[in-house]
Amino acid sequence: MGQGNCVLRWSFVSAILMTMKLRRHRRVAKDVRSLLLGLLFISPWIFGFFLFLAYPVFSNFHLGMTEYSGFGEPEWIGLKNYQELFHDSLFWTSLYNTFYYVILAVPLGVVVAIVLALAMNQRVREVSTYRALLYIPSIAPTFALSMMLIWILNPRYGLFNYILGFLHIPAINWLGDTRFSKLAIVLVAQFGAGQIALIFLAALRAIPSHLYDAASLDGAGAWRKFWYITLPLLTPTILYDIIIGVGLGLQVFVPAYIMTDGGPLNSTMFTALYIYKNAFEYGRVGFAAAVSGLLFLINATVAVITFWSSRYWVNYNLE
Amino acid sequence: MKSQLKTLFAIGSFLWFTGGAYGQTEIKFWLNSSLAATEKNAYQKAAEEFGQKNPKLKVNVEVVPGSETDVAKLMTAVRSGAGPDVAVVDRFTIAQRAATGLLVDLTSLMKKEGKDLSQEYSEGPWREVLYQNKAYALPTNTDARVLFYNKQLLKEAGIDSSEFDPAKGPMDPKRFQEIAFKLNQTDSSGAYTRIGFVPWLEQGWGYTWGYAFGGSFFDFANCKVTATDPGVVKGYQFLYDWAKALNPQKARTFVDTYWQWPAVGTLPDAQMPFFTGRVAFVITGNWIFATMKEVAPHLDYGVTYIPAPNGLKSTWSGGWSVAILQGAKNVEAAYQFLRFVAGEEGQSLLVKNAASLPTIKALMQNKDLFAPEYSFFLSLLPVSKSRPPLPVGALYWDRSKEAEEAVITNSKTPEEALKAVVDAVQPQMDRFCK
Repeated sequence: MGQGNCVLRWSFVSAILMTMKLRRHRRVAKDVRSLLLGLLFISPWIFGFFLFLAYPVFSNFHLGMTEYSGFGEPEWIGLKNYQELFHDSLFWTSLYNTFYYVILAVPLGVVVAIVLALAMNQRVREVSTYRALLYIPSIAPTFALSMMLIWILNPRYGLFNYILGFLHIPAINWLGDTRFSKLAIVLVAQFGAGQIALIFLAALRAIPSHLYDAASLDGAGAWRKFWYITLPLLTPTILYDIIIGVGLGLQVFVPAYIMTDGGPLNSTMFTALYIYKNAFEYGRVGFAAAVSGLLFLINATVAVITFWSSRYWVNYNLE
Repeated sequence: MKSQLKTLFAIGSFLWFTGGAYGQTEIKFWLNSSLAATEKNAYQKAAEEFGQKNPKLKVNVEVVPGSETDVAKLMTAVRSGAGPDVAVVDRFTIAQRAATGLLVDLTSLMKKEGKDLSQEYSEGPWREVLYQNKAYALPTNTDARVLFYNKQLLKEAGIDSSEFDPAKGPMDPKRFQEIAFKLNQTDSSGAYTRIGFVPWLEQGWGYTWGYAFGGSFFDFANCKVTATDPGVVKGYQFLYDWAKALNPQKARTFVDTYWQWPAVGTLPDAQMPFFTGRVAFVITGNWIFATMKEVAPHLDYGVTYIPAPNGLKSTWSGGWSVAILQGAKNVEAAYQFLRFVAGEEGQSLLVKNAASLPTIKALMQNKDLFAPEYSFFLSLLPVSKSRPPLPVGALYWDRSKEAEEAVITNSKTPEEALKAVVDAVQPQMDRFCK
């Protein structure tokens, strides 16, 4: 779905560029007709973009400058909500928790997804069965996974601590100890790695086999082939994964909502949960909108920096 | 063409006959998912009985996600015009929901009915449904928190349970600690397998201990959050000291193992630590009778006052209420249903099916309604307190829970933790102070 959106966005951008080009040159009736036809074809997306994305974003910034409970008329208060949140220690705690999660969960997610993709790409007869088995955990909704993990992570009777017991690691109170609670949430996220692993699998299969053949002739081992061929050619997919992962990671909500309610001691109070509580428990929709707006700007900034940095590490040259 | 017209006529007649059947008015009634199963059943029965007595009205009961403080689904549904006519709302949040504009002011409806309902209901529950002296809901039930003890476990440990006879009044906290710690058990690794009493388990909230030590949580005269009131601080100090004596980390692991707090909703009733003998004492309320009947019918238990210094008899009451939501399609019919479900018939169903206590004064006098075990709880209602009904009630509750967590993990002193509560809640409260 993300990729579909990406294609549509590029179509939209192309349409605008085309319009600009037409301004510079003599408009040809045929081109105009093509442009209109193109716009017509992507009109459902344009309509959806303005109605469900652009309008809510601008509306959110407006609400962020009001005192609003969700009912009645919003009262304009300017930047007061932003002033308040800059002095709100719980907001900073939530932002710290969110970045802690993103910094840990996203790179780990990339590694897990690549490992899964490599496993799915093995030339064995039962590969389709393995692929299905590795993909199955991603089908489970985060809600159901979280409910299940409460039991798996039980400090005394949980399966996870039982396995760690074989390694002589003492029992850990995953959800009740501030040192481990965020790690537990990071762990939940890895169950969804199968989705992105499929994209990595497609990228892996797009790598021409002659590159590996040439490397073999030069005497390269499996590790060198992975490091000098596979990994560089997976970087466009890694970039995609990071962009999507950071975007979703900054909005992490469900596992904390289900498993910890932000505790212990606010160690899993992520910004999205903080927004939710303010909007729907405390009736402070205006304040919650201000926090959402800030989170949106942070997300956009991180995405821009990631895109900018990609010129230094993403390899688009397959040949 | 003729046959098409006939078909249209047939469909139209069918729709008229079934959809607008007998001119029935539909009332959409929402229950939140955090209600106990017994409570949901009782409300369902009330809706059915109401329908039988009022054939022109039909109540459609729907269970939707939500909890005492989480009304996301309700808020968004009402905002979008798809909300219910009537919903069950936790009473201590009524002031807050009324302040946000979610609820319909019942004043004109009550005036039209010509009854002074404030005289029918007990003072505490009635005060909770008011915001700026106007009623926004009707209270359906109430409760009281007491100390339950497992007689069998006490007997096995050689403790004379007669010391807990309510006739002797509330036990002093120090004496209680001596007794409770005798019941602690650990395994070879030193982890607790039984703790006599975990003061913060189940209903042992900060409010419980703040009130037990004579504290007050709000000064209505001056519109001040008084979480740092000396009595409240003493209550939190009691929690701090108890946790320290148990070892905070070990106690936390015990609670997370056997109670899975705060994801407590995932634990089956039969696994509750008091029923499984993992704790010998627990603070909980009368609603437990309905569950106990199902999952622990042979448990040998007793009830007594919450331990408190100087013999102070303390408890606090909560409970639910029914309110009409903004945008309700048929306010008159909704009010009629409200009066039924929060009236004598509806409340009697809640008492019988969900082990509730009534909020209607007249019902409390009806001895036939209550099993003998209710008498102790009913006797406590005159001294019972409630959470302050404030337009920032949910925030105050959440921040008090955070303070409690900081105290039981010994990561903050009670003074520090409670000052943080005042610092967070008072500025929000100031918006409503005049």
